[in-house]
Amino acid sequence: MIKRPKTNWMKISKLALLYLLLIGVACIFIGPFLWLLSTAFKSNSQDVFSFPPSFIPKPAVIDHFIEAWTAIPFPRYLLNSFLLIIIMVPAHIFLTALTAYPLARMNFPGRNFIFYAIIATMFLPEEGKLVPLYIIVEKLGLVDSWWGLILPGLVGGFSIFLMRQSYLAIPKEIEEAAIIDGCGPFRVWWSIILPLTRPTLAALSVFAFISVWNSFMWPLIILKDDSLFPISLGLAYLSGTFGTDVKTMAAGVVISLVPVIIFYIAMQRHFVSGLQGSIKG
Amino acid sequence: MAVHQVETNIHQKVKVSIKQKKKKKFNYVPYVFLLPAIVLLLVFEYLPTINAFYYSFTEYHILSPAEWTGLQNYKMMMEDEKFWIALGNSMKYFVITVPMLITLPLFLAILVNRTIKGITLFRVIYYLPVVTAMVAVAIVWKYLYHPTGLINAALHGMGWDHANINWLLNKKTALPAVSMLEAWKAAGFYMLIYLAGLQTVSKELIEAAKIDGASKVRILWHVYLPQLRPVFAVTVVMATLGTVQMFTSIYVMTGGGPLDSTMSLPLYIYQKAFVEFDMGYATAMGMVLWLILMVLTIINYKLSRGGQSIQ
Repeated sequence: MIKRPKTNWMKISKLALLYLLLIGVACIFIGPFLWLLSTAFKSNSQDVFSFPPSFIPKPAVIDHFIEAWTAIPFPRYLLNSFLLIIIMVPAHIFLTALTAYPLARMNFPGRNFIFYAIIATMFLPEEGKLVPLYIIVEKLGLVDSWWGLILPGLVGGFSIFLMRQSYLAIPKEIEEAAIIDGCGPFRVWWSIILPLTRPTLAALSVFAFISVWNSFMWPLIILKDDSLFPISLGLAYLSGTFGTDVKTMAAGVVISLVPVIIFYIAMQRHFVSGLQGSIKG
Repeated sequence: MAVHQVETNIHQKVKVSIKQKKKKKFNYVPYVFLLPAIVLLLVFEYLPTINAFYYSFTEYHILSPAEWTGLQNYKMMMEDEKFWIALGNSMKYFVITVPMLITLPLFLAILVNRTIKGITLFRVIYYLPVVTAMVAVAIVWKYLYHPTGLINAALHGMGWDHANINWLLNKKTALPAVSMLEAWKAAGFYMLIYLAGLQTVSKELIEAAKIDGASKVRILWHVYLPQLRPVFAVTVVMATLGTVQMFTSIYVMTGGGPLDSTMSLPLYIYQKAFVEFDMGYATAMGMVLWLILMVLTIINYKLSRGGQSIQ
């Protein structure tokens, strides 16, 4: 009876310490974003690099958001990124699902060879092939166009591998029943098997969304016309010219981060499941 | 008995007829499924890789056709001081960033591997930098590294009075500063990998160790870590590939300066190819980078494998 309150106290203080540690670490990860947000709202009279640093904008103004939105082609960059996502994510998912299907569910000569050849592309070096890839795209006349931006990244060994794992987990009987019912192979794939892989499709879409939104090196190489720039490239371009105007730049960065953060929070459980799926696979 | 035999006979006949059908008709269906991806991979993966070998032995400026020069590019590399600086820097990034990415995320994973209220929120926050664009966070961190920016202010707060370092303009601090950003951004990713690994550790072993009276540190060292070995193999390989290929953070924060002190091999390749249009030389350096990545990966793989066989 005497012991009980003591252990409770121990437990509570231990838990409090744990939360303190968790919050402290959280500050390291979220601090830069909070600083960014407060900077974007600070008025011109408030020093961004004051000491001691202040996180509260006094007064809070939205001038810099308006400037980022009007003075520089931010809406254009944002729209481009959205369009690229609308084109690339479904195309990537469709091709991945299409390619992985026969590799998992059909028997045909050369299947293993083709599978390993696709997996091997994961180990082909990005830097080694960067210049020759540019030359090929240039010879196809696709430099400075979205075709050149989109086509090289549409299929990847890793997604095909994950998708194949997902197909392999489906029992064979489902397909056999559909074939006996007289479904053609495309019907079987599209309306019977594909819907069963929904969790993997969701995870792949989430990763594709993030990677398209954040892609930088390839757009930097392939695009010259700034009306075609996605947001990431637009930001880097602006930080070169507008870099000294910290608050407007901060507002621009905030605008670029909002869609991805909303998407991340809405979809966060798919990140974990997708990642764990990839490790088990 | 008789009925049974008839039945099996029918079965055999059906089987034979299916086989004959298969032999007669070539089944083109799988290849139709595969065709688009195969075309794309041939044109945009295999062709460039094969071309890379060829171009690395040529002098090639994009406007004039490639000219065979044998080992010229590789000889030039040996004498190119900037190449060696970039290579050395890439190794420095490797030495600084990889240990951070192997240890810190494990600490984070242990911290969030429990079922208390609100733990999902903390996981979401720790993972947040991973989903944001490197360009965006590199711009933010550039401001944080300002002489009177947040990082120096935090150091002041911890009682270091001389914290007015111009992190990104100082030859000594610029490279570690960029490495810190890389580690900060990727930590959440490796945390999730470790977390998945921690959840596979056998609960019975932990219970047994507890019953034997082992301390928490000993349980971590002797129960968790050995079972996490395959996870370590994954994180080491991924962190290695990631850091040797560092590009965007450096491009945005320092552009390779001051005085090439943050120049990485990928950034140098980019500059040679797409600023100076020296395609042949850039490709040759790309081949060297590929070779380095292969060697590092094989060493890592062998090390993790070797450890397993000892167990």
